[in-house]
Amino acid sequence: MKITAYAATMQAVWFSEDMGETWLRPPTPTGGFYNEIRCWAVCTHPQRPGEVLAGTDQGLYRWSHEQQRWNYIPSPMDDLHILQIAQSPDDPKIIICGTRPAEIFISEDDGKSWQRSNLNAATECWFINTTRVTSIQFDPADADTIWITIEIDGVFRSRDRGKTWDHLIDGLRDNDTHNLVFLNGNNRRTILCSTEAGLHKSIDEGKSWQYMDIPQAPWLYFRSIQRKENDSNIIFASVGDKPSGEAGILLISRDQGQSWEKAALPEPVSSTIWWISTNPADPNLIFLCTIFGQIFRSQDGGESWRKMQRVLGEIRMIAWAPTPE
Amino acid sequence: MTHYLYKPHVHGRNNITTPDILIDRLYRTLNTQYGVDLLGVGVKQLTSSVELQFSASKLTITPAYVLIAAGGGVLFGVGAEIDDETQGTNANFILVARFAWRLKYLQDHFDKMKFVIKVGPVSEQQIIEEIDFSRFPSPATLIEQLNPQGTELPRGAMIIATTTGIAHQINVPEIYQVNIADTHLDRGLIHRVSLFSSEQDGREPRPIPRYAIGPTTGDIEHYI
Repeated sequence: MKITAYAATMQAVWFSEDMGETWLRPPTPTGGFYNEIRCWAVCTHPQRPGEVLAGTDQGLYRWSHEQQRWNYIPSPMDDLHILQIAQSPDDPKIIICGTRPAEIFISEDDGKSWQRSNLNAATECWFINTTRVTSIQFDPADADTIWITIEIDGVFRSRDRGKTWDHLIDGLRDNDTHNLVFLNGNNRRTILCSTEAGLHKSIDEGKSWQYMDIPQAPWLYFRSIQRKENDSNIIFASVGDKPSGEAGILLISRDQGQSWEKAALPEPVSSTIWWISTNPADPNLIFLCTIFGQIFRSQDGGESWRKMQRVLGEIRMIAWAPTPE
Repeated sequence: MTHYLYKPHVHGRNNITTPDILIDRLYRTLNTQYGVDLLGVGVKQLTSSVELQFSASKLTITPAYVLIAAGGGVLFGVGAEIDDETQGTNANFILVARFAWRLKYLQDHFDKMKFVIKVGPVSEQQIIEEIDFSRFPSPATLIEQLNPQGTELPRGAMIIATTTGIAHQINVPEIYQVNIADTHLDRGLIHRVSLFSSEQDGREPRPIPRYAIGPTTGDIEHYI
């Protein structure tokens, strides 16, 4: 299987056609957007091979593999920062974008029209001045249920695809939330939430959160968490000294977060690991990036890692998908 | 504001370029009994937004094509003038889409171009008018008024070209779409704008805004 990896950076989106060994941007004269456009998010969907959505500081864009260019999608988000994008697993025409300031925009017709959701997130923040969306996930058990994390305003859940929202922060040591992972148990599921003040779990669908003491983590700043695609027991979590940080580690749990061990990265990271990317097309192929440009790749499900030689600028998200024939 | 930063996606034959262009001279066409004049207007009326809010319950919307000075040749875009007559001329919007073509690739087939105006949500759109491009003043005529010796527009100039007798009375709320279809090259320039009423709050009950503190594990000096 041939794959393409995508890195959303502060200098546009970089593409790798050789498993992350080398990276290139589409040329500005033909590529569809400016090569120093700030890009925070890339999103692929199994039903849309060759298509990538990108969230930038100049609007939403869709990559066409056939045309080899980004095509602009008009939306009310042109003057916002589009930080997160999610597409419904069942229907790629349903697109949800999260922005800075922290708002949610939803399209149910493949981006032709948009509705701003009635999310009542905090509008001002002492620590970061303006709140922002850090993750969006469709609930694996119900496509009408959407979960988002906000920096800095906790966890929100909508059971009616964005019409109404529940604010779920009871028990969080800090509302600086970054990401969620859903774990299926025997009779109940567990949700993990990474925050600025450690990892938390909920066994009551987010109604309450419990802090998880993880001795292997030398710091409290948990950023990206990700489940291995074909094994809900295996979870990856990144921990940094701070945002953006000067040091960090990758933790692996093989028992749904009950115990953790430090992953053997081949060299130290120079900033916090910001994103971990998996794809069901190959559960063993995983990319991760640090916010200041390092890229690591695993081809054995996270057991071993290789650092890519190329260091990009500031990377906010990394993704990969099969390349169309 | 003395300039507007226009950010078009200029569709060429096999590519898209995205020059950011400062517009600091904006003209509307003024149709008189002697012909077409250009009337300078403030650039603050320009917008590429896809959502606009009005206090009026009815708007007059006039479809337009747009000429933009650019280094690689005049750009050709689509737009509209939106008049909220309850607010006077200063409240008007001049819409210009973020999609454009190079004028030089159109000049031989203006007769194959037409406006198609639609209203309604994407899934239920209705055509309210189709207008041959020939009913509008020709681009060459307008360019000549700003540059009698040449075929290019002066730097920073944008012209919004309308024609007499074509305007639409649109109730608010509504979704209005203006499209210039180029049947020769089988492509179109589209701008769709959602028109909202300032009288209707779609977010009621509207809560009081909240603020967040941030790291609660440290000592926080209250900032207000």
